[in-house]
Amino acid sequence: MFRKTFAAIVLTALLLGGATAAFGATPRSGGTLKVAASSLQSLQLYKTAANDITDSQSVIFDTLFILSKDDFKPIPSLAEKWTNPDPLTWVFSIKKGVLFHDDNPVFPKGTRREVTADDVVYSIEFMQKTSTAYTLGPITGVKALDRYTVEITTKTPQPFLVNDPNRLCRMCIIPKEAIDKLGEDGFAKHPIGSGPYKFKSFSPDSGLLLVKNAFYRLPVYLDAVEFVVIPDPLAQSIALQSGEIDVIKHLFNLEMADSFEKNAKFNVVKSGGGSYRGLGFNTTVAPYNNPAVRKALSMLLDIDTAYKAIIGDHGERAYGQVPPWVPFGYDPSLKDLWSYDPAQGLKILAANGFKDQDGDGFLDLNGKPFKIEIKTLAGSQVKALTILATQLREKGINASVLTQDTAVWADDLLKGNTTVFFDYSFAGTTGFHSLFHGSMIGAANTHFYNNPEVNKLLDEALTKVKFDELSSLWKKAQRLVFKDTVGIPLYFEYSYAVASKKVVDFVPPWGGLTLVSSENNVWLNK
Amino acid sequence: MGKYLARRILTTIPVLVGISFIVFALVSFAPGDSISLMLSNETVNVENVAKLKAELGLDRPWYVQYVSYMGKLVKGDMGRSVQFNRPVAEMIGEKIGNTFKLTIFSCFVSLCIAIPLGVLAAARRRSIFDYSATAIALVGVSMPSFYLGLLLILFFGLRLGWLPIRGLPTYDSTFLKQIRYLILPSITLGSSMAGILTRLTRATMIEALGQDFARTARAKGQSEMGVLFKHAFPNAFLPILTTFGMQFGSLLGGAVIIETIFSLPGLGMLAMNAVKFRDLPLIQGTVLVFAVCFVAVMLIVDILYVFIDPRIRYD
Repeated sequence: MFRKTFAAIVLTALLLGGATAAFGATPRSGGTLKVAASSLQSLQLYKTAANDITDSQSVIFDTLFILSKDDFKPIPSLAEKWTNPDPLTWVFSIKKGVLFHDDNPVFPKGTRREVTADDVVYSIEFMQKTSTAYTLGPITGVKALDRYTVEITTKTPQPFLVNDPNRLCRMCIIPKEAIDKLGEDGFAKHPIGSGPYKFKSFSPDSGLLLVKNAFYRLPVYLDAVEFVVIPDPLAQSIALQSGEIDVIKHLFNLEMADSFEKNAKFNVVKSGGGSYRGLGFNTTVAPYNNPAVRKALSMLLDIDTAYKAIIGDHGERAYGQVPPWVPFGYDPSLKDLWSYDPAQGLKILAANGFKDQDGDGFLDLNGKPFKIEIKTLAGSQVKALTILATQLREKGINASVLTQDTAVWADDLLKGNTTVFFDYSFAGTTGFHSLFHGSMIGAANTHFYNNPEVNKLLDEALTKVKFDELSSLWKKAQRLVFKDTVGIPLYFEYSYAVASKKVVDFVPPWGGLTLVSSENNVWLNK
Repeated sequence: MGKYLARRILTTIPVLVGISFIVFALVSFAPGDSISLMLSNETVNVENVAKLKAELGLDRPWYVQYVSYMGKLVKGDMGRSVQFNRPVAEMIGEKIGNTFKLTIFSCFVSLCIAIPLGVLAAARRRSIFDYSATAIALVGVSMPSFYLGLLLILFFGLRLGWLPIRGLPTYDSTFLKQIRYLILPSITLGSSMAGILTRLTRATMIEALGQDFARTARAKGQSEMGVLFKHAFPNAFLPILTTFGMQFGSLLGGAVIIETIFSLPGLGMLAMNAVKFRDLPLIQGTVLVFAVCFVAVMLIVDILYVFIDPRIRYD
């Protein structure tokens, strides 16, 4: 009896162990991960912020650090650690023994070219000189203190240097010899980095093939990663279902997220991040230069109904520009700035010269017909904005939505030809600064908003390294901005990735695509 | 013939200059430009964008930019893409082969459909074959290409798994493999042209079959197939060839939707993205290439006339 029981226990344990292994508890090496990309025209560094290009580059090149997928705080990558001995100085210590890729036109097979502090210095200087898509901020000096230590000095304190997904996080470590030998154009055709995957071949707007870097400092499970260009989102979805690709890393259509969630063959992975969506006002054009009018218009909008109808569970209501998942600046108390009170809103408008004088059912302003044209790009927000425009019409404001071509939209915004517009940005981080700081008028601050008090708070925030101090200043700045109703926050939209069930440990991109890190390591469970 | 060719080539030059001027002016005066787009990006490096603007001469008046552009073009320099900072000629060179492959294969598919159907419809007027050919032609012309493309992808690519859903293999691209990848996009792109050519073939064949030479051929004992293909078809072919030439030219530039759906990196998609980004050098480059191709195709068609119809001679 005892023997039979013992045998049964042993057999069960063996079966369970086998089942566990079969279901992917232990990573397996091998296979090619096929990732959909919408466009991959060039691999030039820093010319465009297009996700597909930067995601592919983040797999080829090392960066000093990456942002944690859980709380977006910087965690070491090439850098072992960093310190901030004084507000204007950053000192990075990089890992020893990290090698650039070999078997390429610059480093023949078998070359063991170590990444040193000089490479980091060169890479920073290269980015400062050539980047149009990103800025590192006011760096006054960068030098190698020794073979593995780099010092960066800044003109003013720059906590965003390491806290933001679009600053030093984007800086790719490159070898000077490669640029000298190949030139920038040549290097773009054959990039050489020290990341987990190395360049194999590239066909612009067709595909990019990367193969495993066997000398990477962490285990690399996949044999290869292939970025497959499929411009049409529906075609991407079909390709995923047919098995031609394994991952869609940016799902553009939220309705597809719902349909993939119901399919047992796929995992829908929500990114920890998301984007800010709002309505913006050009605060220099009448009547939007009047804060009372802006406030009144916000009171006419039932935003909860609008965004839930369109976005549902794929986002959350925004009351400020900073979402809950950004480690600094989130202020839930901003909710008290917003209320749906059409009666009060109409009362304020009436006090500011709005009255239906021609009897057409729409309010006129000082005797002249008044119309709001909300300018936007194409995208999921059009439906939400259409609902809001309908709400305004129901309240007697002649409102409509105008979907524009991207270039026309941008041009109208920058030239101040837009009065009410779809406002969007990275949620929190540099997005808040870009949208509302006076120095960004002529660039991302298309509200033409210039409040010295807000500017002062944002400038001071730039000098704070500690999150609680930064947070306090940002909360104050946000309250001022939204008390002024410079914009009306609508919602934060989540972003999603979809992966075949065989793909294990995939994390949607944030500040780049991370396939191999201390937090995740993608492998295929066939 | 030599003089005719030389004259045709020389007259092409002012045409191309005119096209380049119109495109340049249109894009310069259209709202939006590539620099504005860069500046609207919240992560932008404003200083470097300003430097780029100066380097590319985008801060000069449009007519100065045009003269400078033409000066470089004459030396074979098509400039650099503003968005990607890559030589335009190189970017076009990477894509033009794909566009030609798709266009040529689409034309082949459409001719394979149109000629037999049109001839059969004409030979069997008011029969089931005629009505079927008309219906097929109508479907080909009426159905939006993006819809047909997606239907084909869903059925042959996803449901049956017989054919790949993308237009070109990226790696290990043997000739046969490329043909296999081109089947669905070529049918999609060629269907509209097939519809037009089917109707045209039918009409011209009916006219040719009603001519005296056709009756004479029958009277002399020629078989029906012989009357159709030895006598009627060569006479009916000229208008078909002319229309084919014009359609070929429009297929080159009109394949944007097909290229997008089938992920086929061609000139159409390149041009569309260039327009979206107001990338003037790239727009100019692609438009000029389209214009040259169109003019070349029409010239080839004119030359072919001489071989098809011995009565035609150019001095």
